[in-house]
Amino acid sequence: MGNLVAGANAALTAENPGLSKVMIGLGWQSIPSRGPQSELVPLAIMCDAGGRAVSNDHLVFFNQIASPEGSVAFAGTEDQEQIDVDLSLVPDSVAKITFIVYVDPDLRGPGTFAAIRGQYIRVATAQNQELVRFDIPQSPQDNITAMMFGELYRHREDWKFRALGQGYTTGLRGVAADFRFDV
Amino acid sequence: MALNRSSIRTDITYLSRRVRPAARDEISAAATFAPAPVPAAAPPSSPAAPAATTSLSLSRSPAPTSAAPNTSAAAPSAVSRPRAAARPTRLFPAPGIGATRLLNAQTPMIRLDRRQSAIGSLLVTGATSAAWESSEHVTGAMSVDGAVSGTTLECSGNRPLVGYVDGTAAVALRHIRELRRALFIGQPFSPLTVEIFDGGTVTLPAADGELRYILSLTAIDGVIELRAEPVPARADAAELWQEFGFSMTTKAAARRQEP
Repeated sequence: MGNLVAGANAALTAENPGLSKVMIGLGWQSIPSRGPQSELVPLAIMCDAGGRAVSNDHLVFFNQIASPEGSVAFAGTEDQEQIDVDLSLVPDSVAKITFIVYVDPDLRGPGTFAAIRGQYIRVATAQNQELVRFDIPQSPQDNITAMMFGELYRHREDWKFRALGQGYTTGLRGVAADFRFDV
Repeated sequence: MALNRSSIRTDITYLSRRVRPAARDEISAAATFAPAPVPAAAPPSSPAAPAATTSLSLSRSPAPTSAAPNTSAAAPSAVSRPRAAARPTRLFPAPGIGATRLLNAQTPMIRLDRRQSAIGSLLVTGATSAAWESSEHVTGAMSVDGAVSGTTLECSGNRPLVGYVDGTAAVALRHIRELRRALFIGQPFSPLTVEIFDGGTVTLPAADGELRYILSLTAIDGVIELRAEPVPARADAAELWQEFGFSMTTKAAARRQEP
């Protein structure tokens, strides 16, 4: 299916019959610095049909590395982060899974995406055979403190992937307000 | 055939986390030498034995057996160290930070949830010194005026894991899994206040008579427990570090590895 542009989508299960498990790879490069650097944190949010997080337990990140039923799990760091999604185990109440990267809001100079280059998100099979990839276009990111990379979403009986690449200037608090979860 | 979903143990991270070959070799080697799992060092008091009736002896006697092992470069002891994966993950019920505003004899400890334990900075206002022990048992301490004992812990973001910002002690929660425990000591007759990213706060009261409270932070599988520990009001920081089993790690080992 190749490379996507922002806003485009790909029919994962319709074009790959029998696909039940995918691996989401998130990646970027940081420009080295001697001072405090932005620390990017990948986050998967399992959302209901209204676009809200199903619960606080349905946030998957480094300190909560699997959803309650185990359908979404952080699994490795071969990209910057790899997330396994077992589509067959995703609860019916989950309509989409959004993949976000936020800058950790450490009080000591949290930073932004300004020093971040080459962000991407890719979808691969469980055997790491790449299905689709979205290289996020480089643009001024001095005010960006969180970014939606892409999302998996249900479309009738199938699962699709949408490339997003949308930045937040309000960081994790802005993300939490939009997706209605507690931080 | 129906799926057996009960087999997914999300509370045991090493069952679901993929292990790189190099890491797997390391774990295999450790398993060869590791004795039976040992629980993480228990703090001197527990909710079952509230602190109000407890007093600590500050004599310079050997550290209690429950304290952390000496991790100085002269006495590396990987064999006797408890492994992080062996820590208990089934925790007893405990109040959260919103359940109380005061940590004292009536409510000696609280537990943060996984989001509160991992986002932003945990700030301790009023702490004149902060001591830390990493998951690798590297130990150090810093005073509010910047004096450092032992070994500092730098995180990948070029920030200390535990340090000071504008006179307030701060813990980098992005790296909470690199921290095993920490101890925050304030002035005897001043309170300590803890604040986390979501705005939750809790205060340890100032000394009342011969006892005062210091703050003990323990990270258990990425979850933070905060505990008010009663100690003699006049005890100084070095005595308290020793009493709580903080043996400062020298930098000798690190220096040997520098080119």
